[in-house]
Amino acid sequence: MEQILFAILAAVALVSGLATIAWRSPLRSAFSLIICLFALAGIFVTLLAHFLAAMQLLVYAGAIMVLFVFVIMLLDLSERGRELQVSMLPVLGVLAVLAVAGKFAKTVISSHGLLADVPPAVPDTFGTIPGVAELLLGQFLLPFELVSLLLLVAVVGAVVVARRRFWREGK
Amino acid sequence: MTTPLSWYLLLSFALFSIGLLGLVIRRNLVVMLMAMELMLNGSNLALVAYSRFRGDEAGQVMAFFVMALAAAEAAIGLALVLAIYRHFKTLDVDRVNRLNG
Repeated sequence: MEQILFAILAAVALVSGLATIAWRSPLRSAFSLIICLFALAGIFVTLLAHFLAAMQLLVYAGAIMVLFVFVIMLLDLSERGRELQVSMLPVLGVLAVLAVAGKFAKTVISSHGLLADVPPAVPDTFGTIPGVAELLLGQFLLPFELVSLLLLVAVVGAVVVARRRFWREGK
Repeated sequence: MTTPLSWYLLLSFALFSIGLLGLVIRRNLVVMLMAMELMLNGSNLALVAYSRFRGDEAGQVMAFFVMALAAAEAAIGLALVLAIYRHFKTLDVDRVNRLNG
């Protein structure tokens, strides 16, 4: 049962992931990516990461993808991007993927037997808000605070870079 | 009948590879950013899968940090996209090749 669910979600994620980089129109790419993120949220639930699945839907499929769709609509790219813009580097792309594949195979083979194929029994709070919050606000409190600083810097930076006057003054 | 760890790792690797391929072969800046999001999601899946099979929630906390990082990256990246589009009137990275605007 769990394997069937995983197979369905994985197939959806792979197909929509491929569609993301294959569509001509960036808007269609964005919507394919949203489907992929939804499927991944489902896979997170099968891994008992309930809090992360909710965050995936709220932050990724919600906030980040709305930003993408907003920018695409603002620039009206759906009309201009008619022709598929592909570079002359597919060979390089395939080589890069093969390099990652080799590294992946090496990792999986060398880690074989280190972890059991049957997941260990975990307490009921595993992956829920109390379970994750205990680590997030305990052991990882400093990184957590630094992330909020990072987001503040990113927001200020985004406003500065996207401002019209910034580029005029540079000239 | 639980799903073995290697299946999750395989899916994570496949998503990462699709994102890498898209990043290299596509020339549209927005699509390249989306391919990067795909790569981040692939690595996130590996983190969460290892977290489950080790019975340790720290992996989920790391995935949470990656998500916050992706939000910051998308905000800065899309601001740059807006600025580049305004300046060059195109998002084809092959045509954005002048350092001195």
